[in-house]
Amino acid sequence: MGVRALIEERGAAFEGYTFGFLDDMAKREIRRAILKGVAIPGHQVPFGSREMPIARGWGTGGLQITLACVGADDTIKVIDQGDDASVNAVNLRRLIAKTTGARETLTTGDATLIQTRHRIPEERMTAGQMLILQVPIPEPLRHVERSVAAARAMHAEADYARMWLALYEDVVRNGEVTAGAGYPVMVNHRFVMAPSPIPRWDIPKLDQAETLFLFGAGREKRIYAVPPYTDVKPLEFEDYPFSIEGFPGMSCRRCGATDSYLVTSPQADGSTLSVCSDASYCDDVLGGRKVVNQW
Amino acid sequence: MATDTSTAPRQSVVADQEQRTFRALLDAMARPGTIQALPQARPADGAWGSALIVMQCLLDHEVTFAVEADDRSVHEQILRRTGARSAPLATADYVLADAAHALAAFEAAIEGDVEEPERSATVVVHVDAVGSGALRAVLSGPGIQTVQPLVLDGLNVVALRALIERNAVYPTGIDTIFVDPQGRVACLPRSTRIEMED
Repeated sequence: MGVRALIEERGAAFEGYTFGFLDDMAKREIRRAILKGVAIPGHQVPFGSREMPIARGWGTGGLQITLACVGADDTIKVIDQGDDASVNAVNLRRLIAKTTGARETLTTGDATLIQTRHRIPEERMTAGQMLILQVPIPEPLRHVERSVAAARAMHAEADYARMWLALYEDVVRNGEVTAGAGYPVMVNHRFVMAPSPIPRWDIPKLDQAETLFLFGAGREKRIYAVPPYTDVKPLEFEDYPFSIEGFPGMSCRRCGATDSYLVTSPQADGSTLSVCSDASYCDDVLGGRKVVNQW
Repeated sequence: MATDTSTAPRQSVVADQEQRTFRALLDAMARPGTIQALPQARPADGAWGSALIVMQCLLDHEVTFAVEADDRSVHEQILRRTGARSAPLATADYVLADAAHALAAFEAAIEGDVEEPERSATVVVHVDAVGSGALRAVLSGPGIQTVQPLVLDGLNVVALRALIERNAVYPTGIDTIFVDPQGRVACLPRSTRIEMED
């Protein structure tokens, strides 16, 4: 059995479960939190994160949002670091599909709902799609302020001085802002937000997008959102501007792409192997399909 | 992808309606001023049908609600269908108002505080029509690429001005859902800037 057959294999749907696993009251509470989150872009809304059949920290926040949104006529895609075939992505996708009857896809353009861990797809998402991001730490101020109450007060007063100071100290020590995954962003000129540990490569995609982004942190019990066409700017200094990762002279070993986010792993012979992080994009390039819309 | 959905759990009729309603509300809230379609209301519910669908989608015993309308029958219907607790306008999480009482709702509904701006009211206003009518405003802000018209029938301009006033100090404020008897819905989250058209 090939890998593709293995990830497409699914068998019969579950019997004896509620549609979408969660009970109706849990969904209603999540839906209320999502709507408030959308109305206050970047603000973290608490919600009563439920026990899920996966451990907290493995995508329960994203999963609860997905299950509160999904209908039987949706088409779902789940990616983990861009890959549909990781064990976690496959199991989440199967759970969603088997408890709802929703269609599954591996193709970015075919999905109406995409749940993701730590990547935004390379193919530009459209107004008819939603991206649901799994979030480990929703509080961007966590590393400068350990108290939840104090961090909340800082958000309330838009007092991000300590955040700026931390970035400044980073520049002084290292010559640049070293934050890689989860670079802090300013949403709608008001709230500093943790974009989840997506690479810098994906940060510009959040700004003025056609798509609605929903963020779910199950362990920390927070939901937040970035509506379409919202200003999302990385925190930067005039003389130390934000920049995305570059892959000079490198290309995907599998499909040859030079315009996608690459992940690199060391090989036994001392060389490195770089491939596309986004499996759907890599398949498209390999199959000669032109991805019309890129961010 | 080949999918055997024959044994997949089905949504009950009510749950299916709530899920479709939520997606319409989510689209409307994410794209302020755009008109979304609610699921078909029960004909027996008459003019309030669409508003009841919205309340049913959002309310249960965990939240409170107030009704600001001359017709009190809808209050009874919400109590019966959702199990939500009735509360004074000044503390209710969700407010259903007819167009005549929208001003009172906008003036008195809770707006949250800066630490917890989400602890604010969502006001559902039942208007004669969404997408046509005499009241015209131009919206901009999150969810809107450039500008978006909002056209309503039956709402007094004074009420909309009161809403602008209440939402002047972001991020506290009130989020508004306009519904009409035909099942059209449009939202005005507090993040939207509203300019009146003369």
